Amino acid sequence: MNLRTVAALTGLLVALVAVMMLAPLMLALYDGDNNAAFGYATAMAATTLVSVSLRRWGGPQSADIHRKDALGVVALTWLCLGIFGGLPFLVEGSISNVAAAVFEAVSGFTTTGATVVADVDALSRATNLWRCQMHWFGGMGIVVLFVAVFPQLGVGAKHLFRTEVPGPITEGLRPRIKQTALALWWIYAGLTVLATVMLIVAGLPIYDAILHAMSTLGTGGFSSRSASIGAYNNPAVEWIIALFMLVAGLNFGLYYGILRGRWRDFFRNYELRFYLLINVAIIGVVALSIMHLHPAPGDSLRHAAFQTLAVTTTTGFMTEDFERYPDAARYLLLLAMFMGGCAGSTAGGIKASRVYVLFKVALGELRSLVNPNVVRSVRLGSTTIPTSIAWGIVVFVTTYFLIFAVCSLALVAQGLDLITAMSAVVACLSSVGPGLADVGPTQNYGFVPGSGKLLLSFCMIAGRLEIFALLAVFSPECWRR
Amino acid sequence: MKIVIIGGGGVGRYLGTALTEDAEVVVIDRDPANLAEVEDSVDALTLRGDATHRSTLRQAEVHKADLVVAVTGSDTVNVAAAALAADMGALRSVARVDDPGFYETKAAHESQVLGIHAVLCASRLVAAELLRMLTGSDCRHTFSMVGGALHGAIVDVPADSPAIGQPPQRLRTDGSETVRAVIRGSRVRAAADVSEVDEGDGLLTLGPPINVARVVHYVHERHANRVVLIGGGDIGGQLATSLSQFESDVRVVELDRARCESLAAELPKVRIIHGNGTNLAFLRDERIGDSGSMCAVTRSDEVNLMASLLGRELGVRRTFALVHRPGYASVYNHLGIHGTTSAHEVMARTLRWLLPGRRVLGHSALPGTDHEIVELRVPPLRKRRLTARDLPMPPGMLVLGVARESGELLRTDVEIEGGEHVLVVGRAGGQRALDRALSRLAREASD
Repeated sequence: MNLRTVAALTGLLVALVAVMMLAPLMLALYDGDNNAAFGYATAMAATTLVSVSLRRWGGPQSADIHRKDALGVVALTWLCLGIFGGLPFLVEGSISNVAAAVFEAVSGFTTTGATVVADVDALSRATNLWRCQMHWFGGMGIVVLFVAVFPQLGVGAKHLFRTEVPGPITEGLRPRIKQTALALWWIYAGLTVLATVMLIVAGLPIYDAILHAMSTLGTGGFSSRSASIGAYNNPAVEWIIALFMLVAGLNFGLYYGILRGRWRDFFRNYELRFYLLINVAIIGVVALSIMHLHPAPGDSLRHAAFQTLAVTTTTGFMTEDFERYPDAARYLLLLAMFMGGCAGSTAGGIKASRVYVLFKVALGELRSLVNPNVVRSVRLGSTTIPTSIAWGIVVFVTTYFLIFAVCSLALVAQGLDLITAMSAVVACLSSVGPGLADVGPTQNYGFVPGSGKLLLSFCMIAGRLEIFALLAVFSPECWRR
Repeated sequence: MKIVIIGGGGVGRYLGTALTEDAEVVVIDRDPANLAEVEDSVDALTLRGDATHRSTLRQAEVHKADLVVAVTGSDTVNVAAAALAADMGALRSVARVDDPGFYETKAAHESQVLGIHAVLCASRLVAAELLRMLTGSDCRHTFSMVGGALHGAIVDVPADSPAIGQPPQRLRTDGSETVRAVIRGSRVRAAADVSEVDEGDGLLTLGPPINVARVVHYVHERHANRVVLIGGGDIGGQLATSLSQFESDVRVVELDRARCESLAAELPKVRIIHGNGTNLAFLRDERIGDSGSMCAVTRSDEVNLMASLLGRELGVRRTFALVHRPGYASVYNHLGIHGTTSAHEVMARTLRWLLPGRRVLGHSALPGTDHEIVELRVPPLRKRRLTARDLPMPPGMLVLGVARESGELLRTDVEIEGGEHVLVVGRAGGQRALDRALSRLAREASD
C-alpha cells in the first residue's frame, strides 16, 4: 500500500464531506440558529484542514491506484466519515459523548439509521438535515460519487468503485467506470426527486419530504420525528415510502436497463423475483399475525408491508412499534434483517442473490450425497455462477455469522441482554437500525456503553463495505510495501 | 466513441488500455480468466461469450460501435467475428490475421476483405517498424504515417555523399519521388524548388518503408553495414526480405534446421545460419560482433534480451529487439538495448489511426526546425474535382503528397478523392488551422 497515494485520495474524499456540510450550515444561517451554524462552520473548517493536510502530505497523486491502495482509501475514508460526520453534533452540543457522536455519524453514512438521540424532535433543523444527508450520500456511496465527479482515475477508479459498491457480482453499466458511477448517481438523484415530489403531493411539508426522501432512497432510517413515519399518520405517505424503500432495495442496474428500454431484463431478474417472493411471504405472515391489532385487512396489510419492507430493505423506518407484534412475526423480521436487499442496491445485509446462491449450493451438496458422480452447475437464472464466486459467497456468509457471533458475545459481556445484543449486532451489521427489545423501534442506542457503540460502529462499516474490504485492511499483507 | 475488442489476451488488454482514452471500450472473450485480467487492468466493460455468435455481438451492441477489433489468437475467429460485426452494422471492423498467405499484397493491412474494413498483419507491421528503427540509426529523425504503411525520414547529407550535386527529385526509388522536401538551415523547402542537394542538407523522404530505406542507404553509402537477425520466423523472414533489397550483407540466425532450409530457398541473397543466438561461442565463431546492427526477433522475450545483450557485448554497434510483453520494454532500454517494439504497440498505433471521424490523423515534429509534418484525411468531396495543390491550406503550409492506405505516395498534382490522405508540412501548432480548413471544405462540398 502506498500511504501517500492513500492520503492524497482520502484528502480529496474528506474535502467532499466538508462541501456536504455547506447545506446544513446554510440552513442554520437561514434559521438564525447560531449554535448550529457555529457547529457546522467549525466542523467544516476542521474537515477542510485535515483534507488539506492529507493532500499536502500525500503530494501529487500518482496515476496508478492499486487494489491495496483502494482498500486503504475506502477504509480510511469511512473512518474519517465517522469522525468528521460526528463533529458537528459535538460542537453544536446535540450529542455530548465522542463515541455516541461517532456512532451517530457512522450510522448515518452507512445508512443504518440507529440513533443515540432520544428526542429527535428537539434537534435543530440543520442537524436533522445533516443526518438525512449522510444517509443519502452514504447510500450510493461517497467513493462512488468521488469516482463519478473527479477526473479520470482509470483502472484505479474501478478498484475504488468495487470496494464500496455492494453485491457479489458488480456489473458495469457503461464501459467506463466513471460513467457507470455517474449513471448510478443520476438514477439515484432522479428517484430521490421523484420521491420528494410524491411526498409533497401526499401532504408532507417540503422540508420533511426532502429529508424522508433522502433517508428512504439511501435505505437509512433517520427521521426528523421521534415517532418516525408513524408521526404523520398519513397512509398515502406510508405507501409512498414503502414503495420507495422497495425501489431502493432493488439493483440500480435494473433501472438503468429500463432507461435503455430493457424492460424484460427487469422482470426476468432472478434475484428480484426471489426477493419479491420472500417479501410477499413475510408481509403475508406478518399481516395475518397482526390482525388482532388491526382488524381492518387494509390497515393490517399496510402496517405489515411497511414494517417488513423497512426491515428487508434495511431502512429501519417504522409506523408502529413492532415489539408489540407476536413472537413469530418478530422472529421472521429478525431473520429478514440478515438477508437485507438486492446486490447493487443501497440496502445492506447478506443480499438476496447470496442467500439464493447459498440455498442452491446447499441443495446441490445434498443432491451430490445421493448422486456423487453427477456434476451440477450453480445457476442464477440463465447465468452459471462460477465455483470461485459460489465459494466466495459461502466464505462471506460464514464470516458474516462469525462477526455476528463474536460481536454479540462482546455486547452480552458488557451487560446487554441476549436478545438486545444479538438484534443490535445484526441490525448494525445489516444496516437496518432498530433491533428488538432494548434497541427496538421506539428505543435508541444511547444506553449502550462507549466501547459497545464503537464495536457497533465497526459492525456498521463492516456491513456497509461487505466485510472483506474492511477486514483486508487489518491484514499485514495489505500494509506491506 | 465506442470500441468493441474481441479477445482479452495480452494484445486485447494492451489495446484496451491504449484506446480507453479515445473511446468507451467493451472486451469480449470466451475465457473468464482472460476477462478477470481485463477487469483488473482496463477501464472497460467485459462480456463473456463467443464472438463468432451473433447473439454475443448483439449483446455487445456492435451495431453502435465505431470500431470492432478482433484480436484473438485465431485468424479464423478474427475474420469471422469482424465480418459478422461489419454485417451487423459496425462502422468499422478490423481483424488481425497473422498468416501471410491470407494476403494478396505485401502491405501490412488490406482493406475490404469480406466486408471487413481492414485486415492487419501484425508480423508485417512489426517488421516495417523494425526496418524504420534500423534505418533511423542513420537519420536525424524517422516517423511513420498512414497507419505504418508509409515511412518518413530526415536524412542529413554527409560531406562525401553521392547525393551531393544531384537534384533532390532525382533521388528516386521504384520510379517514385521519395525526397519531398529539403531542410536547409531551419527552412523547409519543397524538393522541386531546390536545384541540387548540398552538404548538411536534411532530406525529408517519404514513401513506402523500403523506398525510404533505399534513399537513406544511398545517401549514406559509405556507412553500409552488416545486419544480423536473430530468429527467422515470420518477422525475421520479412525483415530479411526488405533488408536484402539494399543491404549487401544480411544474416539470419535460426535455431530450427527445417526453417533455415526453407529460408535459404526463399532468400538467396541472405546468409542463413543454423545455430543458437544465445550461444556466445557460436556468435563469436560467426563474427557477429562485426555487425553494425542486430535485431532479435524470436518468439521468446528471454532469448531476444539475451541475444541483444550478447551482441552488444561482442561489439555490435546498435541492437534492437522485439518485445512480446510490452511491460518489458523499459528493462531492455535500461540494459542498453537501442530500441524495442512489440506487436501490441504497432497495432494500437494503427488502430488509433483507423478510428473514424478524425481529420488530423497524425503528426510528427521535424527536429532542427520549427515545422511539423501532419497527416490529414480529406473529407468527402462529392462531385468536386480537386488536386492536392488546390486544397484550401492555411498560409505557410506545404503539401508534400497524397497517400493511399496501401502506402503508395502520389504527386501533389493528381486528382484526389474524399477519404484519401494528404501529407502537409508547416509551422508547428498549425493543426487547428488545418482542421478548420478541412471543415470548411467539408461544408462547401456538402452544400
